Amino acid sequence: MQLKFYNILVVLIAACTFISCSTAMKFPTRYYNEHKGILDSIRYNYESAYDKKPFHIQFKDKRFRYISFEMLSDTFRYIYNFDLEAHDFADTLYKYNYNTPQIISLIADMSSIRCIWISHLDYYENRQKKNLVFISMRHNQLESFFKGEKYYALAFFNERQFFDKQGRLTDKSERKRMREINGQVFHKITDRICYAITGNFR
Amino acid sequence: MRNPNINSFRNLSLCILLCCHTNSANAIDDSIRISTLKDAALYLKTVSNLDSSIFWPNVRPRYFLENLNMYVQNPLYAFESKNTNFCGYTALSFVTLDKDPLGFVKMMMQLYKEGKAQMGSVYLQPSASVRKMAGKLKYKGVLDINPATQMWFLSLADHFKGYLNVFNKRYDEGDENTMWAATNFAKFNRMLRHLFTWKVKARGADLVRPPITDLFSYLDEKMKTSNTVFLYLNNRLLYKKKYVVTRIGVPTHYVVLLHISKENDRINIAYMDGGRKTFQQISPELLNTIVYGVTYCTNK
Repeated sequence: MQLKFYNILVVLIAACTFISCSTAMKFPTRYYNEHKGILDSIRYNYESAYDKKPFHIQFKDKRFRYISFEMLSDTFRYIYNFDLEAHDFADTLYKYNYNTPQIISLIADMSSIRCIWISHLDYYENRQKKNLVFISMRHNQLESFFKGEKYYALAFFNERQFFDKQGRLTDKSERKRMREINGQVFHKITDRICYAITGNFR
Repeated sequence: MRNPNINSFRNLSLCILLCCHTNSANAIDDSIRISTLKDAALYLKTVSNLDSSIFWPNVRPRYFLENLNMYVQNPLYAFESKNTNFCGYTALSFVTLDKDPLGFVKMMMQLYKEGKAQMGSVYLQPSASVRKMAGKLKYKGVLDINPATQMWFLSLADHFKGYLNVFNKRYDEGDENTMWAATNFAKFNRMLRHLFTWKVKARGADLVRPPITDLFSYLDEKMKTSNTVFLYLNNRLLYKKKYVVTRIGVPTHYVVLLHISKENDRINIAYMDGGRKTFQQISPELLNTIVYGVTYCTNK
């Protein structure tokens, strides 16, 4: 009788472990597929606005009311903080010749899926400069009282990438070497989109 | 959090323009300049053929020379790096290039050819593991294509040691991201004293903020009386990378202060950080919270 109880207990623990692990493994891909439309829209909107005038955006609070807007040039970076409920932000975008409606719409999209950071990252392959769009999101499943909050980061490449058998992003010239972005190893969603669950959102 | 209005933008833009029209580091006094970028460019034109160096097996002469030319043509980008602990070396490198670009380029040339070189009172003779790694660093932004900057940063980190480096003194691959490359405040000031012929004074410490009542006025005065001012910052408050309510205050970053001014209850600061001049409006409280050390240099 006691042996049977232990057997059931072991099976239950194994099942729970399997379910929790598989949920954790599936979450990033599932999240991307569920929000594909808006994530792609954020990416393309940002790329289009960035090409006209470069910038990065960061949400500074949990209520998605305050943002830090980084205006970029080749040699300068201007960091300004705004309250989205005030009118200064749109006025400033207009004054500095940004595409105001496009950026306002981008920020609304970001806020709707709790996207807290968007940036354009340069990287080098065979001494050639390339770039990707990097975005980070908050998610209830990634908040832990003991471990601290983690963030769901997505990297959108313009070219096909290479992955190892475990789906980890690898270096194009050294296939056995993990390719890092912001010091993190990324995993495959599609051959041009990767994710990481990371402790830092930028 | 307070909104900047358009007038404050105009004022900030004015201070930005002032910064743009002066040197790459506004706080650097012209009287200490030994050579100019033009001198360095003329020197580099005389270097037509450079053989591979047996001391730096992964640094190709062509890319090395391209990097030296970048120092002269685009000095801001020359020392940019991502995901490393090289910020202390980056901050002092901007000044190196601004003060004596010709001397710096010649020193780099000697380091490449002979595997050792002297700068100030320092005799750099990097270890074999460092020499083998230079040219191979990856995923560090523009540093990936700058082998000379890799040589310089790795040589500095290999030579200067502080208490943060006690448990990891020998370079192994990947150590550019670890405590091997970290720079505590005393080590940073020691590097300045040894590399340059300036009088270097500092206030602050690694874990305790300097007891300065009015930090803005203090920095403003040092900007006027010194040739260069460096700040040792808790960068995680300046650029948030995660949302946490409580955080242990630890400084992790060095920048060159270019400009500071006050406008109503906001402070406009401009500083050299990575490959860009950064301009930001912050509150006096945030300034007091983030600054752990102030180093200022004067002529001897």
